[in-house]
Amino acid sequence: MPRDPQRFVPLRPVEFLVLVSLAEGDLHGYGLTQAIDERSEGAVRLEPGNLYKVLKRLVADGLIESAGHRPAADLENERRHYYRLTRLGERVVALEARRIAALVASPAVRSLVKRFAPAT
Amino acid sequence: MTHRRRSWSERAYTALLRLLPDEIRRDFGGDMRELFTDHLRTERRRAGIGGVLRLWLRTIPDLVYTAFHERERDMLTAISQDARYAGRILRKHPVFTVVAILVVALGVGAVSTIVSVANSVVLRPVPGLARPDELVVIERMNSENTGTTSVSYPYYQHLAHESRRMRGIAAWDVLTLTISTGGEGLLTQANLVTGNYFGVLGTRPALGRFFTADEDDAANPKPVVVISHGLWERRFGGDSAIVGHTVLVNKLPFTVIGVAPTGFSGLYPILRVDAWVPMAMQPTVRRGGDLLTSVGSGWLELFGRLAPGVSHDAAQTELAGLTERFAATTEQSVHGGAAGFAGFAGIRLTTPSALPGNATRSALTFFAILMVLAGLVLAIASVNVASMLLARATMRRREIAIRIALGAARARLVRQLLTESVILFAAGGAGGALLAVYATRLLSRMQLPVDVQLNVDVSPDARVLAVTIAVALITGLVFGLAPALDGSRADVALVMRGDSAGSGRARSRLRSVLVAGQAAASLLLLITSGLFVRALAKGHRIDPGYDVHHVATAALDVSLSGYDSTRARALYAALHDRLRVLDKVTAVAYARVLPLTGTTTGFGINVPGYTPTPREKARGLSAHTNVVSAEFFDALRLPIIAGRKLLPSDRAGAPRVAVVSELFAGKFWPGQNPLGRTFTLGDTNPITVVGVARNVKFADLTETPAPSMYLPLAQEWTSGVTLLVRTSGDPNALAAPIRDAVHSLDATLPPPAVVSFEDATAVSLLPQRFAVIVTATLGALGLLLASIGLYGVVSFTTAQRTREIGVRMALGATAADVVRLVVRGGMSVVVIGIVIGLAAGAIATQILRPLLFGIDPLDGATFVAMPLLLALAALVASVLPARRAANADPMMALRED
Repeated sequence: MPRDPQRFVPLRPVEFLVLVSLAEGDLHGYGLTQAIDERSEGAVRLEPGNLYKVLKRLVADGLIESAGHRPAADLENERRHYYRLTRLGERVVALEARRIAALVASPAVRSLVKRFAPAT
Repeated sequence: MTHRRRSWSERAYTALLRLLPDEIRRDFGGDMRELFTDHLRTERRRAGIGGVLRLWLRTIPDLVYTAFHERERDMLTAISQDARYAGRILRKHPVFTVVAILVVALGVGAVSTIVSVANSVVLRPVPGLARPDELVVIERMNSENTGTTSVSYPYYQHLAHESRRMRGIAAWDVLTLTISTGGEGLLTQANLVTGNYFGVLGTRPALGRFFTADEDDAANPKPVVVISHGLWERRFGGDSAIVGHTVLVNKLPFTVIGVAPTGFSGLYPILRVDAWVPMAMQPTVRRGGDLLTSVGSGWLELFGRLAPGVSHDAAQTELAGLTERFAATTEQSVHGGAAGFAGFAGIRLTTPSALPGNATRSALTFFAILMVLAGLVLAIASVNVASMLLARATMRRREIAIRIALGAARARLVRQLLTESVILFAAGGAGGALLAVYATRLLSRMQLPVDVQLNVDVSPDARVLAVTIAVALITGLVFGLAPALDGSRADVALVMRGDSAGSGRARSRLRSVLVAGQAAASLLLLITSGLFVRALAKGHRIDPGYDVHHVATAALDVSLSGYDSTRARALYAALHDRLRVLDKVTAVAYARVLPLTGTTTGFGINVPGYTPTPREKARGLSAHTNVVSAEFFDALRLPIIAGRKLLPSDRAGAPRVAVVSELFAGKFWPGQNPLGRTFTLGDTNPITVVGVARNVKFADLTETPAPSMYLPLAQEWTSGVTLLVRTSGDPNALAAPIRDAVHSLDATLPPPAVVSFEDATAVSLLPQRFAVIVTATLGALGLLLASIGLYGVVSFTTAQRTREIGVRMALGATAADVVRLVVRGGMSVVVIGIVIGLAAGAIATQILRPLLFGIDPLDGATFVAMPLLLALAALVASVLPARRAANADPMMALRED
């Protein structure tokens, strides 16, 4: 069932963070929250309810899927539920990444960043 | 699967996951618990117990939020499902539903009507004021510090000029003006106001402009007038060309400069004001000479606007200081010296409310009492519905038991049953709102026998409707909760076995408590209304000392139509002659004060040979005074006990004379013949007593008689009088002849309003009359509702006991035995209620004391008659179902169920 990835962009920031984190490899819930925490420099912190609301939506949209339960090396080998990107998910996250990159590269945004958030 | 021991946090989290809908829990519950466990482990390792607590602080809101989010649609579906189901059940029992809704409507309607009246009289915001929270009413306390007095114009000027903590202070006074455009004049209630009046209030004109400073310059007064929006529409057809036009105010040309905004009626919207005239015009339009320079005459009311950031207290301190300074500088120059200024005792600042001064507080108290009574009616009504619901819960035992057996959750059943009662109460609330609209319309049509014109719009507004709906819904929840909790507790096994005793003792005890409560509440209502009825009856029996029947009255003041005193005397004499010859008329008189209308006039006197008490010395001697024409004593049939009445020969220039009351004579010349004695009114001209009249009630029926005197109108002339015409027929039939007579003498005079003396004096019984109407209605309603409730409960319990009664009858009980049994059951509960109601009544009615004309709040007759009345109603309500049970065929009864 091929679906048009364009339909899904722009993504919500949280969804983008989840997809980007999964693009580097399958992750369980805890791993995802860790990855998002790092990637957003602590700005986005997901509690279980909130995270699974996002995952539920992404699963329903067909952007991610379950990768089954398996022992987690980082969690004393307890079995955890892993998630991974679908093909559609990969294309959507790539599309969104390109959109954001283009946005960030635009002169208007660059001058804004220079004026209001100068690099330290 | 690892099997390690779970911590309490994990177990708690697992339990809390139940908040989520099953579907989510199935798909993600495990993952969420795992994630929580992972967080927990990290936090514990990182920060110990503190970390765990912080994790919980984040987790609980997350779970609750998620639960709400996920259940949103479920909840809406469930509510609409419940509502549909409730609707179906209610439609299936139309009699139950209609009766319940009607009962609630009566209760809510009573509350809503009272709230509506209170809202419009006291609570509704005053139209046309800017930032009303900055406005304060400034009142000067009287010398006894018991109330407030009006103030003089120089005092006002002093405050207005010197105050820094007030942004502005304005003064006003009420007066009556005749306004005409050439033809017949219109009597209007008006205000004499300082030039800054509208500015301080922050009112903007609907048309034209308000006063300018030079229009209120006493040295150069300008005849200008601002008219109300209402007058503009009624009298001038809403024609905007009115601005700049000239109208006749008391026959003098005034220019209309502006129209006030819709509904604006000054600080007190209930007092209708139709015109505003600048203060500088006072000597022209208001009696009493030039009051603008008189320091001694108090006649103005003050209000002001606080400067930004100034508190009430700060402003009050400043104004009190200014008052003291004013008193100190003017003391010597004022007639009466220091005594005249003893009145500057203190200053009181109050927030303006819809009624002037203390009236707000007493009105609020009065409404609070009525609110409590209306609340009692609503409580009785709600209890009725609650017991109906309880009874039905018993009948629906089987339905509920089946649903429980099929796995319905108790919470779901409670919600279902609550939905039913809330729907009932919501429908009843809507009915109550309709009732309130109707009842307030009836109330507005009630004619108030008072001579001030009132703006009374008591119809409910959005605020009242909101309160009504809230009241209905809250009562629905409160009174629906007990039956719902009870109804959902069916014992499946018992019910399925078909045991009709399964209703349980707790349920019937609850029902008894409800009935006892109803009886107590309705007895309280009955006692209150009984006391008011007794008070009103006593008020009617009070002998004022003269005959109030067969007298027509009309207020006249031709000085408002430009008459000087010579022309006024001639006109009043001519009017007297014209009316005196009418058929059936036996006396025609004029009096300065119409007795029994709440007005007291006292003149200061000096009596040679009398030694005043220290208190009298400080305050000055005075006596109630009426200034009357010769036939006054005939018109009111006021008996003269000694000497003579006043005669037409007691005219201006003739020796000054007076008729005094028995009390007057007894006080100043005890044990002596008062005839021929003299006294003076401040000046030196002696007045000779020529007659002694019987003691009478002067201002109202509750007063204790005080020394009073009657002076001849011709010698103490005033043109503001009340005409009194005694007839042997119907006084109301004199209205047209009196108006015709006035018109034929001067067609430009405003037609006087003719009222029978009886109606005019009804004002002195007004609070009692109103209280009787309201409390009797509420009392009757309460009694009816409580009887319906008792009837319902007795019928229901009797029906439940059909089999038992059948057994008793089969074993030889007679019909009379059965009736006694059932009635005893009903009445024992009512008697408990009566005892409680009597106790509550004995305490609660103490607050009514001031309204009762000396009837004891524990009035024996009331406290005996009302319980009997209630017991009688209860007896009827329980005998009816008892007889039905007794007449049942025992065999049929045994076979039932």
